[in-house]
Amino acid sequence: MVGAKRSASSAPDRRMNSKKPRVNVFSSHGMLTRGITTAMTRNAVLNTSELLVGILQYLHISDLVAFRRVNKYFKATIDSSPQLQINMFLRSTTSCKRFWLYNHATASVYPYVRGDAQRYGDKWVVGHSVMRPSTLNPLLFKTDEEERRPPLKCRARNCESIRFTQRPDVSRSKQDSIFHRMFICQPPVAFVEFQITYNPNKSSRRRAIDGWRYPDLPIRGKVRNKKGVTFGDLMKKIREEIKERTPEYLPSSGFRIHVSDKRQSRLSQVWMLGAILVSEEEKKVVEGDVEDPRRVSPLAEKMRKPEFLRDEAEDIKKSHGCWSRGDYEFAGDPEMSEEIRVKYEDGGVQMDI
Amino acid sequence: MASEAEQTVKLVSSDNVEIVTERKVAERSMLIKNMIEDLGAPGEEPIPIMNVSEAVLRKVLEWCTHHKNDPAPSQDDDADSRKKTTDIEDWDQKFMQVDQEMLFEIILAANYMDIKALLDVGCKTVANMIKGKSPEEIRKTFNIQNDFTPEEEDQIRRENEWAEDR
Repeated sequence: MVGAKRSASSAPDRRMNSKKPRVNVFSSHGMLTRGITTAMTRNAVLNTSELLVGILQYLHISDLVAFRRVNKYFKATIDSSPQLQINMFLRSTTSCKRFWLYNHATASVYPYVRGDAQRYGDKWVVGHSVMRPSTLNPLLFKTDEEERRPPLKCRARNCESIRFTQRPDVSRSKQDSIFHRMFICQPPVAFVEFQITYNPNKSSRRRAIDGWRYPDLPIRGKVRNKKGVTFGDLMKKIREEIKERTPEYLPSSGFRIHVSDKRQSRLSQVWMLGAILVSEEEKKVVEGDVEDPRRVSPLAEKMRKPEFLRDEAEDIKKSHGCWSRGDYEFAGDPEMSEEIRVKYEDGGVQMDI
Repeated sequence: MASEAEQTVKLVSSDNVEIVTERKVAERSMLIKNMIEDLGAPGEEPIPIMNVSEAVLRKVLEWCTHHKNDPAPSQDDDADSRKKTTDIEDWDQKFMQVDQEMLFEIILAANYMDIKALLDVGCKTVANMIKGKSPEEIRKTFNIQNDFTPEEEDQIRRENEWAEDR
């Protein structure tokens, strides 16, 4: 099924390739050849920036990054289009105004309806974790493979750990990279935790001259940016942490950050607090649900108490190594998160453990 | 007077060919729809479609005929879920199996005639043609001149790196 679709969609490519010799603007005679009229039509489309954006908006972020190199016009169009900047995680999306709640008593996930915090009061608010459905920047990070990922409810309860797609270079030389301005997810988060394992030996195979092999060193850290944590913020913080822990490794960039293809807790991981990474289908499942799942049993009512949540938080901290949803700051969208955050603070429940 | 469903309109292409078509078909184009509303009496006065040649106009009308009963797109269409998919329905995919010149002509016509859904299909088709290609291949495919100096291109290349060299 998928295969069939693919071959059908690539059909235009093949056709175009077979026609390529005809697209020849520099013909030897002066007549308006088919090649010239094709070139004229094509240029009329590609040189209209709204039409070029219309085409480019369907492309993957990796193509958008690469196509900045086609020519000056492509670069200027990609760098100036708000839509494309959103698609490249360089500008925060404005369309996402929704939050999801995880109800700790009923273990259910549902969208937050504006005004609920006022309608149901402090007790109701306290029984929930707040998160925003987000998309991960696929160039920088990856989650576990689909079949190994925890189900939606688990991801709503415990913040999912993500891994780098490649080994990041924290050296100063890469700091002007466009990636450093990218948000790590969209809509962006304001708070990120990381755990990095690194080694001063750039190559794992090469040993130091005296035959002694440096041990891997783990560091942990937190990154905050109200406007949304960028990849550059994360790299800067990692660099600072390394400098503090092992100043002798810097300013040389001779160390490597360990990144694994498989899920291994001792290697480098990142948590994006306040975000839940979901597919479009999962979004539909949660937001299309009209049933009101807010009615809870008396037992559940008891379980909503702050003491219960604190105990549970401790459990999560122990088992997961990272307190998941203690942070209710959301990047970019202050007026929406305000309502919920104020309730938390008024209720005297300090969740930031 | 004929009922709205049976009404026809006369369109005139840029090369002065008159094409008679169903009003409902023609009104997939917001340009024509607005013109009909402004003119008042459809069917009598021919509507000039100045920037579109006969061949392209017929092709566009073929698409409009197939899609004449499509529901009007809703305004609050979820922007981010719609944008990301490059899937094209089978009929449209076959419809778009034309040479490069016609493909770009259709996009220009859809833009000029203000037919949003057709413009989307055209743009998706081009996007499918270029996705995953290198900048060099894009230049070759579309005969685009590289106007960067080697230093500028190097600078952009550096901007596009973040990981360790392998």
